[in-house]
Amino acid sequence: MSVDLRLVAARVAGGDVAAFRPIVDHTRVPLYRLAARLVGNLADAEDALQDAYSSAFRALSEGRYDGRAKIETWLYRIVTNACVDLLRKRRERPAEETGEPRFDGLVRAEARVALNELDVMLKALQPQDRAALVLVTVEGLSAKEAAEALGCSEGALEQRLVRARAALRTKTEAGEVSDGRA
Amino acid sequence: MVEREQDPLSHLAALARATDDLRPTDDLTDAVLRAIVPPDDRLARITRDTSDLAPSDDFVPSVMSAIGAARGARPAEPPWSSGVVRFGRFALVGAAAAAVLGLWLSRTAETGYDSAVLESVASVEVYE
Repeated sequence: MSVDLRLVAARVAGGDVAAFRPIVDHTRVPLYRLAARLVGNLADAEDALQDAYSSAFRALSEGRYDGRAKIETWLYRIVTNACVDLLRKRRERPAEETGEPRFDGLVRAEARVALNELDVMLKALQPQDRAALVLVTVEGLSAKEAAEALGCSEGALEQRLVRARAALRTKTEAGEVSDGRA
Repeated sequence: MVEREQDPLSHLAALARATDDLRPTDDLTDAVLRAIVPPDDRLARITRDTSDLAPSDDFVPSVMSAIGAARGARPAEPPWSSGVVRFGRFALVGAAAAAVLGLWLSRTAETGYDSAVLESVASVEVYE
């Protein structure tokens, strides 16, 4: 069933808090996957996603959603920003321990291993470069969509992709890329 | 542990015998294959393996309760300085408009007064 989330968003803007539920319900799966792929682990992904939903709700309530982009696209951008912020914080405070995921009951073991491998593979990249690579190569976004999600120009996105790929190639050639297993 | 032989060559032979059955686990093959695969192919495999990631059903209630808590929190009262910032521009524009209106009124009154005086002077002259 297709839901017009813009109409639902208008109800949230009008003060109907419960109307936010279908928005979360409709978008939680792709956004959970996006957050997990961007940050490389489920616990951080859940934190970033909760923050992103809270920010989105505040923005809707305060009338800061202008309705130009689709709700899904708009949320995609908010989640991407929340994840990039989290990656930056993680680089600034590497000693900080990651908590335990709470909503991972449906996640297969292969997916957890793959996420860990992704995190190890991309750990050394700058957060913005890492996000650009994940959005284009893993999420399958076009350059235009990825640039929009990251709030940069397509040229800047290309630069980030080139930097990220070069860093990965260098790591592979140096034999530094492990599969993340102990 | 291999006992040390007097003759170095015999010792080497003993070490060779002792390390003869070193075998990696099957994981080594996997690790080598993973290491030689180009990064883009690895990312493609990771994409497939993570394609069905989804949160459990209690995620939505958790978000809704977080939002409810945020909504329940009383917004902080804005400081008086924010009122000055918000209304200062309107106050300035209002004061300027009042000054212009005052000037115009005084000019109009002055003109009216002057013409009344001139008229009365003229009527006095006519009478005389």
